[in-house]
Amino acid sequence: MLIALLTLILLSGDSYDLTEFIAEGQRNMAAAVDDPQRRQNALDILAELEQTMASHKADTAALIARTRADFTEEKVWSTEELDALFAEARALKVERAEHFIELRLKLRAALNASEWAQAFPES
Amino acid sequence: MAVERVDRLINHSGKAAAAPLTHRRGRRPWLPLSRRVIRLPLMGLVLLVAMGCSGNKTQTISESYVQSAVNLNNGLVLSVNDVSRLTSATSALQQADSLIRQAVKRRNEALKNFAKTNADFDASSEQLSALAMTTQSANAADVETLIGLVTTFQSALSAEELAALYPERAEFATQTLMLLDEY
Repeated sequence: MLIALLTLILLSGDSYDLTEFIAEGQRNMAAAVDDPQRRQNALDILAELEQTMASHKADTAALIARTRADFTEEKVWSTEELDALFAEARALKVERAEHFIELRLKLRAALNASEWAQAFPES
Repeated sequence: MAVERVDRLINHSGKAAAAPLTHRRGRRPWLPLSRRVIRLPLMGLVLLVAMGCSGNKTQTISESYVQSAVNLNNGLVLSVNDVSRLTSATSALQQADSLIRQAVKRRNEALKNFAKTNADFDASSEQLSALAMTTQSANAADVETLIGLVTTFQSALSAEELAALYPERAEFATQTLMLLDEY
């Protein structure tokens, strides 16, 4: 039951699936932004966003895998162990949210409204 | 169709609950009176779990997850002799099931809100933070409950019972992982 509950904390409300958003921006940026330097800047931000999200997903997967490895027939978890585990899980989520917001605002600042609409027409 | 699914699950769980004759992992072949007495109300949990799978909810709560919860519940009934400890463990499981279902619902809502807010060019830092933090707050509030549930579940069972129920516990964990990770 522990892993079920850990995943509940790690993944519930895990709303930062940016795969489609990033792919859409990468696909349309050439048409959306004329200036090569600004275009590249926007693409770099999208790439950083992609890398950051992938890195956090890997950290989350590693924590779940580590816990699964500890989840043996005999293992009984103490309250202290549970506190530490859930604190680590929450810290991962907070860190991920902070990185997303920082990069999302950076991307917004790199484009004007018209360019944004062209870059993300389906969003 | 939903009723048929529920009937199937109940029938299946009924067979599973009647499975002591199979001598799984040395479990006793016959239920003591106390366990037979508590089996009826506990089958209510099976019904509740199965009912949660009916209708439109099948789109978000998989049958495999429901089956794993039913199997763990039935495993508890078959493995735990003491009525008080059995009630404690099944109650913890029921609450965990409820939290998991709420989490799936919350996740779906968050996905909708996130896509909408993220696509908005004029979304402010505060709106983006609020979107993320609303979910964080809900999860933080759940943590104390979750730790309590895990410790209650563990302390209700002996080391032997925990080991005997390892397949069901592991399957429940796996199915929950898949349930929450399928988006």
